[in-house]
Amino acid sequence: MRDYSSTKWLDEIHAEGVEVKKSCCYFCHQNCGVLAYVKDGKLIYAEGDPDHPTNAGGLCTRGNQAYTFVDNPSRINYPMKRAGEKGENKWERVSWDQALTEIAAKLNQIKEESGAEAVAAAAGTLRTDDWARRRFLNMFGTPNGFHNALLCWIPTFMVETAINGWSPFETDLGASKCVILWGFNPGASSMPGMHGYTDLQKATGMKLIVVDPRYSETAAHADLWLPLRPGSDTALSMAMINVIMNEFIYDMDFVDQWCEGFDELRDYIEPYTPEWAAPLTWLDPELIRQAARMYATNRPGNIQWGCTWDQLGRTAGAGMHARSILRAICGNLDCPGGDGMPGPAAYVTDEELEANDRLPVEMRAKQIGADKYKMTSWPGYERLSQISKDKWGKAFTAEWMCEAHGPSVFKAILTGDPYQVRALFVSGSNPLSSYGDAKMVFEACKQVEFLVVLEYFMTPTALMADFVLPVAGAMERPMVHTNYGVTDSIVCSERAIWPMYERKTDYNIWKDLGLACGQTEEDWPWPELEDAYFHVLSPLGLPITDYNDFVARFRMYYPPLQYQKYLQKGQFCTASGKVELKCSVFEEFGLPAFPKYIGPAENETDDPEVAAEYPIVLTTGGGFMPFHHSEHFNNPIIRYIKPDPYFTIHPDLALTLGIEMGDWCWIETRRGRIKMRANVEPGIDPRAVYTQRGWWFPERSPEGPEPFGCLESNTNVLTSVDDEHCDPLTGCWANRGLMCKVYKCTDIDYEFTERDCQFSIPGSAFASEGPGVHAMPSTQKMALEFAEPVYAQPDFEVPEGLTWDYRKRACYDENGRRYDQASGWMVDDATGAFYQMGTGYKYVSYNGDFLLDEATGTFYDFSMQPSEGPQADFELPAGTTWNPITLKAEDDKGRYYDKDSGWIIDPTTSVHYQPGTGYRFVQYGQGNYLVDEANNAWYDFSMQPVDAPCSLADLNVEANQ
Amino acid sequence: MKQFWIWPIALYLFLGGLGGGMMATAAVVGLIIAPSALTSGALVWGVFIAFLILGIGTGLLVFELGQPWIFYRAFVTRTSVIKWGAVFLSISMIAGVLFIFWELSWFTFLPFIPYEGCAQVLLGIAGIFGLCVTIYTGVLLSSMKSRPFWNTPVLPVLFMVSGCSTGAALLSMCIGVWPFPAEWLQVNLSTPLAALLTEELRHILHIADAILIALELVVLLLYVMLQFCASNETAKAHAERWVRGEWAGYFWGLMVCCGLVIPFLLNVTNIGGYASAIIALMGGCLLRFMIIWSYQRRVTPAELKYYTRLPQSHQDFMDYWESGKEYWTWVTPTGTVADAAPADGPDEVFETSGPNPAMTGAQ
Amino acid sequence: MTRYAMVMDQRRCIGCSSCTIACRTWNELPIDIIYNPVVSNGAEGVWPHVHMTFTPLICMHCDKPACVPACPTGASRQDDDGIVWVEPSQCMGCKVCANACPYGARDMNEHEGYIRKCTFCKDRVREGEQPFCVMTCHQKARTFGDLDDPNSEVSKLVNSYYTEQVYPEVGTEPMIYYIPDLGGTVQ
Repeated sequence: MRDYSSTKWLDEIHAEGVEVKKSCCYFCHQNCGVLAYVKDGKLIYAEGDPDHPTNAGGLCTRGNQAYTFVDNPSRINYPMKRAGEKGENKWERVSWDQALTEIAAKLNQIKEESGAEAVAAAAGTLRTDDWARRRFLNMFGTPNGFHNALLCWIPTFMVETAINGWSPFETDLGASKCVILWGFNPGASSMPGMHGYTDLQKATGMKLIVVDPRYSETAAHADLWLPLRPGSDTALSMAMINVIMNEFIYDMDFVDQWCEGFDELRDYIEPYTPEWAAPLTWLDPELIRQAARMYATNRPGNIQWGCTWDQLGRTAGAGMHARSILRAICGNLDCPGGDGMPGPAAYVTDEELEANDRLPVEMRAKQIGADKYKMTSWPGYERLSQISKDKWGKAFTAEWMCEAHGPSVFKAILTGDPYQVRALFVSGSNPLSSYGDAKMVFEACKQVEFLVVLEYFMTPTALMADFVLPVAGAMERPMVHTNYGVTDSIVCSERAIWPMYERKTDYNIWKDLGLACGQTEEDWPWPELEDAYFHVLSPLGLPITDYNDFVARFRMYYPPLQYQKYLQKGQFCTASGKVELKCSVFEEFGLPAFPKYIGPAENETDDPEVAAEYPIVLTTGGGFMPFHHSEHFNNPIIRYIKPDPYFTIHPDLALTLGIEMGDWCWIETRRGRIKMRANVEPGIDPRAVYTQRGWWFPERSPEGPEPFGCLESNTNVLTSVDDEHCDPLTGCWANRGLMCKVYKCTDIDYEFTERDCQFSIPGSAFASEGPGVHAMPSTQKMALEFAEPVYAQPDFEVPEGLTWDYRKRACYDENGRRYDQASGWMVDDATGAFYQMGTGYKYVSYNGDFLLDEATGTFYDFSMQPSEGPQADFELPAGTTWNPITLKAEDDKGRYYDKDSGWIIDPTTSVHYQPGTGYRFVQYGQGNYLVDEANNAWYDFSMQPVDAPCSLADLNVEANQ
Repeated sequence: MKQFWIWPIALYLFLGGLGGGMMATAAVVGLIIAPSALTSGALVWGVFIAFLILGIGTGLLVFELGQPWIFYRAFVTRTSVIKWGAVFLSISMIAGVLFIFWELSWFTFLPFIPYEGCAQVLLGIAGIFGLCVTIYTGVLLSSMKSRPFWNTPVLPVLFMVSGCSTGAALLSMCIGVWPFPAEWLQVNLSTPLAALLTEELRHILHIADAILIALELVVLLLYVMLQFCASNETAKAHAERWVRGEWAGYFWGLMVCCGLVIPFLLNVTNIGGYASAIIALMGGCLLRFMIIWSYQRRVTPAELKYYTRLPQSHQDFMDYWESGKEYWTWVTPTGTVADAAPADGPDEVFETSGPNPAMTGAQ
Repeated sequence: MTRYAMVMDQRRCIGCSSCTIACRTWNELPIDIIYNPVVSNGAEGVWPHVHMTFTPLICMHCDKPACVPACPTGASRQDDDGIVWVEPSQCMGCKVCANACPYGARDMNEHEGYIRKCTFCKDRVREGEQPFCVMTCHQKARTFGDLDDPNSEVSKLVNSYYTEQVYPEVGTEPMIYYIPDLGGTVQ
């Protein structure tokens, strides 16, 4: 009998021959450190790493279960090929070679017949080596890779980058006096963060403002809690700007020096008073004022990003803009205690690994959604990454930040509009749980001609696949944590064990698939992820021998913290060099320059007839412990404590509807309905309900119209991805602030039927027009019409012959030289040389000021008289002549005289020669020699002949190396 | 909220009370009310049935144990209630069976056979310890401080009275039933004298039973009604359920009316015979079940909310996760369905995908 | 003397259930046994003036446990440092202790036939480590230590804060102390 009074682990993990690997958990974005105990290549146990900065030994439910996932009977361990009909769950085990060859053949065939853009790729969230996927897609030639990125931070990043030059996402909480957690519930979604807030409230008296329609784990600890109407965050943020403006509690110095468009903003924001916002947000105007004052007067402060912002649908972009303004006018940008903008990293960034230049430029325009949602697809990315490269030197990742519009891709599969998408990759994701309008996504997964799924478990999506490929999990791969590749720090974790069974890391799968598709070994220079990440780390110049050495000795790299980088740079890294409250990049795309308020996707004010039928406000998408997205529903230990889906409803509303605690109820929107159990408690407004997300039931049958119960309680059946509900800036769709009705399941209306599984396009037509495709996506109206693009105009008169480039905000001549308005000269930005306007003569300052006509090599002085040009200010060594154009003394062999060292240098080999003798300087071993190359005679520095320590030929070989 | 004790324990408590009660009433009848050799002889069958019932009850108890083969460990500690219960049970059963042997003179061939009164002493011991068993079944439950509905001193009294009343009822059924050859006895029960004795003893037992039932009714009502006065919500909720709630029908109809009032009337009028005994037994059995099912620990609302949301009642859910079910169907290239795991098992494959030589070289 | 105790800071607990799962993992518990439930009423009050607290429950390792004297076999025992545990080889599985415990801290391992309960991770504790639930708690809501040592963290917390116990009136003198979350949200 096992003696359970003492647990086995303690003995086993401290036994002989057990290695401790510094690995990490990857079940959410925190990537908590994990110590993995490995014996003979097998994982015995894993526990929190007490020395890791994120979690200090703590682990949440998911992290604690991480090691059980390594060798779990439900894991997919071998490449599987569909043996029966789609969805029949019959599989044939195939070898990797066969799988990759067949997939590659099919992809190449599709590329040949329909173009590379007919291949699309969906993915989940940081379960995959995303840059590798992008690298594959770019080399394959398709722009249609996407993630669920639009629901998670990416819209925020792009909007904030357009306004601030980089997203200010790194909160410096230690010195902060006020934090707004806006639509962010770290108590449920990112555990390690939460205790920090509680600690700081106690330690520094930091104020905590929580904006959340639900009374959450986090709201329970707030100093001020704003329970707003779901989806009305934009109205609240605009009203807060109004309060701060009207009460003059903004940071006047910062606004004066660093903000563009502030005065226009004052007029613009005038009508958006707290009284205006009150009916929209359901908040007392006084409460809004109180919050605005708390944030504006407790400086420095932070606004922590919350996922809500990216799930507001059509009101999202304006909200993000307004939030950026809030932050900027309170001067909380990049200052101690404020929201820091890290900028690109010193190590090799993801963007540099993605090989974006390999994607043909004409393919960029074919990206699905690029015509509608410009800020998060190629047009916006191209513009912003160009600014970023100009001003920071590097750009942010294209993976995540520049992707196809996921829902539009699924619609394209079903409608062939704008073109037929024929193949779909899905990696580490169950789109029909996580993308909006699940019924439509499910149908797309069923109908797509060729579906390849890279997965850990048998999900409903994987069930529809032609191939399912086994992917290595958390501890089977090295992980780097770089915040989607847009921060300047890096935290690395090593591979605890090599992938078990026949699993492979995504990197290896994409690499092998790339090779099978005809890409070359040079395209994929790193055999394993460790090699790639060693390459990533190499620019840091650390004394490391390989990646694992870095993990063992450093584990993480944080560059020295720099506040107020804009002071040092003299500008923010935006188009204008200032914080663009009035955003010029938006104007260039015909988007509003100031946040334009659009109501939430469905709301009482704009759609009264919808509200009459569906009177309750629905908020979905909030994370809840212990699940992360749609993960862990198949873990019995975790699932046991949360077996059923619940939605939260206020007792008053429940009483009206005759619903009691625990009743199964239908929740219905215009797009469909789902079943959940009622959790009746006063933690939510009586006008709203909150549904849990991600539900599916792996314990149910894979047969029937909705395998594994994947739709029955799937909150995404309720959400909308119709174009009119998507944000016109970024394309994020609406998970919050929708309208629904709730009613109890009755005996005759209890089963989730086949009709409930049918989809419609547009989704919102389901209730009125029934299932089916009613309109092509390209005919769909957007929430906002594009205005005429407005381009930045010069604030000076453009001299004749020069053209104004609004992208760079400068005039250029035909040679690409920039007009420097201050000096009136033309500047070559690459070399920094000045040229005279009109003549195009180059300005040379050496022993006097001269102008050089580069075409003829003639020098002029400033009175335009020909001149001899600059003369040497030193004595020329014998055998050299003065070249006034290069400003060097050169000999006949093309070598030049370096007056600082007194040697003659060969510019091609950097070999030094002694002036006069022409002997070559050689450093060999410990000795310094002079060598007469003509006679092969060696001398020491006192010109005494010595024996040659090596032959000249060897030296030349070495020099060439 | 998990119920640890289910029907075997309820039945055990009932049978323990019944057997103990039979031993006790047999002893009272045989030693106090009608002390005679005839009576003793007439009680043999009753004591034997009591022994059997105690045996079955003990069997149920052992059967219900998680590790029945170490049941003997119940005797090693000093203080626990269940240990004393086991001791009482054992002594009562041993004394009872010895009483039968003595009464039937099975050991007369032994030279050291003690004097005549020995059977009476054994019956007395069996009776006293039988009574202890009836009390113990109540004390076992009432000692649980965590279970408000059990944790009251009335419960042992109730169980004792109920045990004795059901014991008397069953004993009355056993009087006069005597399948053994008559010559084994000193008297022949088929004689008119014996028939008279049987009738008389039954009557005595019916009267005794009636008194005990009346007492039981008082104690039962006291027990349930006192729970209303308890400071504890759980206890109140249970009493509510018994008296006015979903179990009111069982309580008033089956237990009080059929199990107590009707047998009482039948016994008093002496017309019931077996019928009164049988319904009294059913009433007693129902009492034990209802009490065992009123097991709830006192909990905070939060705890209750937590536990009601666990899938303990969802048998399908549990079955699936515990079954180690196959997650998909493998089809071999020839099209036949193969086992979930392919022939070359995990270990082999695992070894082949070892570290990349390039990497080990780098290390 | 050593007397192990734990302090649960309800001001910090956010009900994430990490301890529940960590404990189930470390102790390899069967699916239906939970040593460490974290219970809550959810939001309470009148919207929007509501509050919410979480109560992590665990074996109270009582000074005067109800379960140990109830055990007929001597499998349930209490060590000198106060840790109450069960020796599986001696437990016959009568479940008296599980019924006797006022806290629901004991559960029957139906598959193997004996009682399982929290051991305060006594093997870890005696090696000088923290119990697993304490180590895994992100919020640092749990503090474990020797109550008899006046310099230990638990001793300081218990003596310098207002603490509560669960059902002290039962008289078991539970060794788990709760620092209740008394503050609400300022509205």
